[in-house]
Amino acid sequence: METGFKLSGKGLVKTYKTGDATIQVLAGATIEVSAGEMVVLLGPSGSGKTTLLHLLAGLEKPDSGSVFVNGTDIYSLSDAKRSRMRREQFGFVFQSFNLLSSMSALENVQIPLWTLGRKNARVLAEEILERVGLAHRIHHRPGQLSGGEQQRVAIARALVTQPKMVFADEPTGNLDRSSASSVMDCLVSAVRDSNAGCLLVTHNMQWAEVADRVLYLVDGRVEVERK
Amino acid sequence: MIRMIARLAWWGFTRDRLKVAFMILAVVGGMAAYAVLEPTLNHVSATSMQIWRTEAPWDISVKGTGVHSLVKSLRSISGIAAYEEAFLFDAILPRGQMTLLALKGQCEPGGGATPMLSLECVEGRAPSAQNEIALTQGLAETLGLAVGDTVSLLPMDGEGEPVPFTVSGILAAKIRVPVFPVVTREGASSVQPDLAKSECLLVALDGRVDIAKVASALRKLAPEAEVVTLEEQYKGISTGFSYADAVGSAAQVVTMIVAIAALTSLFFLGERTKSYQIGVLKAVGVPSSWLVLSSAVEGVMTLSAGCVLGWVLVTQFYSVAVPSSLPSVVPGLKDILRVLVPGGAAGILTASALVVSRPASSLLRDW
Ligand SMILES: Nc1ncnc2c1ncn2[C@@H]1O[C@H](COP(=O)(O)OP(=O)(O)OP(=O)(O)O)[C@@H](O)[C@H]1O
Ligand SMILES: [Mg+2]
Repeated sequence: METGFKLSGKGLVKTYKTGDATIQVLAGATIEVSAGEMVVLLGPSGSGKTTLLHLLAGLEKPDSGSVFVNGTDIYSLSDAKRSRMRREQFGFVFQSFNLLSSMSALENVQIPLWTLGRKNARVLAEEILERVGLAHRIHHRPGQLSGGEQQRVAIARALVTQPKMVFADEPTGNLDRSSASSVMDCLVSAVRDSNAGCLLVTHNMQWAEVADRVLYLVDGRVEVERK
Repeated sequence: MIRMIARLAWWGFTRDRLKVAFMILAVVGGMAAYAVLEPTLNHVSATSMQIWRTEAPWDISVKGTGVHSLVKSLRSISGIAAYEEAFLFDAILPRGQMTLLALKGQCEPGGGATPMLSLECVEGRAPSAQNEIALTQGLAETLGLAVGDTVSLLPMDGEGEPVPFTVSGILAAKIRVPVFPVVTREGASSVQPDLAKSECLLVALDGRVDIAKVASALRKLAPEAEVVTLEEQYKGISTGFSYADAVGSAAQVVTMIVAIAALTSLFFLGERTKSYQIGVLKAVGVPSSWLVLSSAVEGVMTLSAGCVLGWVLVTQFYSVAVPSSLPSVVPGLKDILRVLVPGGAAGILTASALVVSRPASSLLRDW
């Protein structure tokens, strides 16, 4: 596995305007995630965790500050190049509705491989679905799977391309306690196996224990210790 | 890349059946409205334009020996809506010389299968035997004749004997009913032994073509024949048609706009419900252009399916609901595809572009 991958955000500022009101969500947030590192970002609802994740993943441009991947400012790249970087190096797991409802689990997992033009997509997808414990469910549609199973499909999809960095935004937000733990175990072990870096965003303190480092988002800034 | 686009489109088309069914229904509806409108309006205006035919239910008559053999060539002349093979000949009645009409086919009430002429009678019936004649109301009054009375016809050369005819009916004063006395073909040859001389093609035009052009084409076709145009009468018809055509085109444009708007909004709503998933795909790094293209391909598939289904339904409907005497009303699939597919695809493309153009971060907040 490649080492030396590093994602960093420096002095990230993001403000939203709705009508007359201006909300400053991020006020100079700085964060760093390296290969093989599991970073959990905690913060209350509305503190800007999702926003920060979107900025770091190249989905939304910050008002000021920069995001670097191995030293390259990703917002200096063209849209197409940034999109290519996402499909080659990043993996995503979101809170819910991660999967295309009209496709089977197997097809959903193959999407990133097809997008990359990989040839052995089916074999790779079957392998990883087996690893997340869904070998017997590969032809089911999302609607025929439980929430926990859907999230495991999403984890398989995020990792099937062997990304360097995995972004997970409240992957257990919509699950009950027991399926949440099994999904989290699945994510952590899959990420550990692939030696990818991982930024796990949640407002649930419970998951702090899986982390190498725990960060808090407070008043638009990232802090190591909780105030 | 093409395989991925095709896959996304195919899945969208085949797996979300209810949505696709509704879309196809919208296409079928729009298409049926569009397709049925034109022939129906045409038929309605063609029927109502008949009232302008006050002199005779036709616009041009071609009279001369052997003109019936030219019937097949009439197809090569555009603008001819209907025609009838008939005989027009003169004879002497008690009040003087008159032109009489005989049809080549059976003289049956209602004029048989042709929509051009009708032999509807207010009293009695159309002539069916050699010695029967139907008179117009005016002539019957002038001669003081009623159904069952006898009237004699004297040949024009003045040499033959007067031929007695029984009045079988009084012709209705209606559109499509001739304003000439009518006898059978056999009856005609008893007064006019050399009937080939009286052969006549009666031609009704579509109201849009220039009557002089058709007349000159007919003159070229039958140089020996006598071509008579009813120009004054035709003027009224063509004015009426240009008005009806304008109304028809406007109605079609409106139908088209409504159909495309319905499709676009349906498709837009369909895309909206998928917007979170589109956000996920964009985040995963699927290029936006692929997403728009796959939507477009899916849209074209839906449109084509709807068009084919709609065309089959419309054609079936027409063959069941419309009398077989109107074969020309089946809409052309080509015309429909030419209008509906580009129009619909443009609408659909706009709808999906609107959704896809939003940044992934905003799409991902859409649930
Ligand atoms: N597009 C937007 N326009 C306006 N305000 C926005 C927009 N996106 C986010 N916000 C606001 O920014 C703030 C932070 O939102 P964000 O989703 O990042 O919070 P979060 O920490 O992820 O919350 P949660 O734990 O509930 O997911 C919220 O107050 C939200 O209303
Ligand atoms: Mg959030």
